[in-house]
Amino acid sequence: MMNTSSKWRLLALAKNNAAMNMAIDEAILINCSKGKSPNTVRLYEWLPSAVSIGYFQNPQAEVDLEKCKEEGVDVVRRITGGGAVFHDNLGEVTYSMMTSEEERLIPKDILRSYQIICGCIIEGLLSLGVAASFQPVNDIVVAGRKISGNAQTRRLGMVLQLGTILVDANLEKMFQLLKVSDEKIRDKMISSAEKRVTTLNEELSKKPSHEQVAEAIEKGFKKSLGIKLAKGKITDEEMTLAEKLSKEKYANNDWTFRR
Amino acid sequence: MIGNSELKAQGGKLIRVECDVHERSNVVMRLIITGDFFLHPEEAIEELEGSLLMLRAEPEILTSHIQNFFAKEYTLVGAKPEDFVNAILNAISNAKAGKQ
Repeated sequence: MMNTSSKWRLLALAKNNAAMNMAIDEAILINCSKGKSPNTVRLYEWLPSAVSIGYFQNPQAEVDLEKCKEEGVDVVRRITGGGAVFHDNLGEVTYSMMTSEEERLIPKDILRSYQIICGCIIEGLLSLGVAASFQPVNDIVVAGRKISGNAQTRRLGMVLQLGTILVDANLEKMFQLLKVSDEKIRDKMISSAEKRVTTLNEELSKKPSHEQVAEAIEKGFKKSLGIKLAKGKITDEEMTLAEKLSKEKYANNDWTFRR
Repeated sequence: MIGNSELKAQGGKLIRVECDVHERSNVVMRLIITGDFFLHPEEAIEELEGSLLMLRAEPEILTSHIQNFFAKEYTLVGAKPEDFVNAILNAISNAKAGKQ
């Protein structure tokens, strides 16, 4: 059966700009749906740092676009729903997972599948010494504080889930880049976010390298799903498609400002 | 007449609606739904927005229309169809009251 094997491809930690990061995920999703690429787990960072917004969000309402421009922070719209995220180059690792909806390891039910895929991240965090748990719908928390946000889409008979693992957080910068509903409560929002959000740095009292985090996530997928995850490369065909999607879709204002 | 609304769904997600209701005809001229909810497939949101255009901006008409829409094969995560009904009716009501 196509795309339901237990052998998956791992794309090791790599840095790209926001448009290219989103384009690579979609290119893999498309190629995988055609049976040209295997199920894939990909680990990545954002260079420069970026804000991604959910499929249904209005960037003007969510993001301080002027500030992003000033700071050289990319802004990109995802193909998944969910909220605006600041992807700090200095403190975050992102994963994505592309697999066929026919893959028996991933439940057809969306809520259940969040739990199963987030289980891989929880397993990975455990190997770093952090005891985290799943908080429906799409969060992973440590003692109630969020350490990972996740978002999923289903299209072309495929499941794409991506998510972030907070290694270190610059909440002040995050609240400068994301719009707050009321300027007067900006400080209050920062202190309230400090209570609601945690990082690996805080949990371990030491900042792990992004490579260590990536390795832990790799382990988590292998152990939790019981799959073989073989280091692979992005194919030429995927890269050509990704470059096209990056230029024509994700870096294009028509897509970013469509809502 | 332009109206906005913002609603925090019980599932925790935010729904924002901006609409334009024609004053004389009481017809929905424009309606945009944004927020951090999940709807599968995502393109269904444009279908919902489009299907509300040119309808009379009356709560009963819009409510049954939105409920029928979500009775189809769509999956909402983090919000319920009733949340969309309420957010849209609030925006329409604000438009009519002249509250943006």
